[in-house]
Amino acid sequence: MRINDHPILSFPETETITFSYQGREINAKRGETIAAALHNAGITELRNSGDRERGRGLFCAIGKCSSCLMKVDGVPNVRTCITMVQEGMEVEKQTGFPEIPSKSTKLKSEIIEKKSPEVLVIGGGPAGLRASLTAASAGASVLVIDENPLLGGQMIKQTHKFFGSSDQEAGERGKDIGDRLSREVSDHPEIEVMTSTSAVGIFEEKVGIYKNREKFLKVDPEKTIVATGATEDMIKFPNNDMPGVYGAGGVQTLMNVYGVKPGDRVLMVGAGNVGLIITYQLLQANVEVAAIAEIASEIGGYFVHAAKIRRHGIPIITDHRVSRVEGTEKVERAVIEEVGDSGEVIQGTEKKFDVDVVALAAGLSPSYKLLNHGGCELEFQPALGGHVPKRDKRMRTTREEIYVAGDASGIEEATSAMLEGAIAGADAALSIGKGGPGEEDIIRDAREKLEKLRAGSYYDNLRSGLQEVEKPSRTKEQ
Amino acid sequence: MIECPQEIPCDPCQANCPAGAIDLEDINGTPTVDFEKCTGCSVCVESCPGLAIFTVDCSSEKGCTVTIPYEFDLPEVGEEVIGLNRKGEEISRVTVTSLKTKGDSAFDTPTVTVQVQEEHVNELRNIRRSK
Repeated sequence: MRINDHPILSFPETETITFSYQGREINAKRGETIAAALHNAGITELRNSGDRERGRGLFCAIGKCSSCLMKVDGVPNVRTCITMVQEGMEVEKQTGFPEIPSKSTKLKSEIIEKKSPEVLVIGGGPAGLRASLTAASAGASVLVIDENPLLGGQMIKQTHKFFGSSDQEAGERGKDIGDRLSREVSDHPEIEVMTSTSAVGIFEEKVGIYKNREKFLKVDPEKTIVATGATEDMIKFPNNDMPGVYGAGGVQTLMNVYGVKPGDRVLMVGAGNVGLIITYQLLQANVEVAAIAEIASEIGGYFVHAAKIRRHGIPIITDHRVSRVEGTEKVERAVIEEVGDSGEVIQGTEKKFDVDVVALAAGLSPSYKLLNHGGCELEFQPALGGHVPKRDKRMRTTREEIYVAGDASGIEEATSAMLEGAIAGADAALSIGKGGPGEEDIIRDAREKLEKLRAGSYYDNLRSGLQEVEKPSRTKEQ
Repeated sequence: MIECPQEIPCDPCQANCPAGAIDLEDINGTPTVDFEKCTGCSVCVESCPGLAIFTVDCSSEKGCTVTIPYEFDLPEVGEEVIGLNRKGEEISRVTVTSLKTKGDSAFDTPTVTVQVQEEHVNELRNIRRSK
């Protein structure tokens, strides 16, 4: 189910290649992921649960969850949402807990290389790209890695225009900002880019990274900036693991990056900005949206985003939770029920929707695990989305050589992520003797802009959460 | 007509208005229009990232038009389309008098202008092609 006409995006024709799924030949477009190609062919059940009882499909589509693991060329546990399909690939549904493959398979774990950039940036989204550019412009050598095949993070699927200040990127579509930053990073002589590359651990001195299907590397940077972004939250209801239940961002990746429709009719769960924006983008992709169900009494997202979908007649049903999803092998129906003031379900209020997709926009949690592994002190801060590292105003964590920026430091949006990235990149460069007064100006300017962005009443909770985790700087120049 | 009642950090409408007709206390303020200065040029309709601005123009003898930002399959000039209100409910059939494609727009947002009966100018906020 490819999207042919789109009011904002164009999906260029690329070479058609073939691969096999369970021995059956499937056509794909070069430059798309295995999961996207399978979806286009109508295959949404990608693996079974460990006990082989339940089917599992795509969920996050950005390599964060394990819902899409399949066996590829004999190697199990391959994240098919971030692995590009290749001519002649053999893809199999993964059942049960797979065996560790023998050395004869194509897993190249024995190749280990070394790299020593001055600054390692983990994550090539808005925060990581801006951090890379800022550090490299100050004269530091930078290696930026991202586990997705494309740079740009979640900006590459954001077809809406950003809010914010006109002297920054306001009014520009997220996708265009992402493309521009990615180009600048790729063209910069001091920056090396490795996509399809995951950080597997932050150790005392080195960081382990794995180039997908190729090799392991030991990286020995002077400073590391963790800009790993966020993970979409799952919510509890019967059959929430059924193929057809997606993260809303997963749906957005599928349709806006790869031009593949997630299904025919969607129930969106959650009326925060993510749920509202992606509902609108589903309509643009010519996918029907039955309704948005929101458990809170009020719409959490911006008024203007809600207005955009209301005028298309999409109902936003507040005070409702998802009770269950029904279907034999994949989602055929979703059931919601009204909840009372203290969260109790009100009997007799069931509403059923015949949908083949349930998209969860129930919140995001910072991707903190590498920071935890690296020994950075964390704090649970609900206003920031979950566990976040303590840090100072220069984005330094409690481990001197590790910085954090973007959603990994607390859920906000791309504009603030870029500003935090600039701060982390500039300070990382300064701390190894690169740059100078210009970098101090960058930090001061970015801090001022962040304060302005966060000043409105919409961000009251965020500001108090930030106050809890921002510790005074430890060095004299502050 | 600016339908942006919430304090969110955003300023392109004010920054891009060629007539200086949009007032914003600071970036987190809510914008207001000085209709004495407003020329109806609709730059704000195109530049608003939230698609929250609409031009209502009743200055012509031929009647009123409403200009809306429209990021969907564009109708043609002269086409009869269904006018919708803020809830997506049908109001009446209206005719497209002009449009700007994404490429025509300096701000990358297509707009559609429709001829609207005067009593509906404060209601009509969307259209649907009747296929």
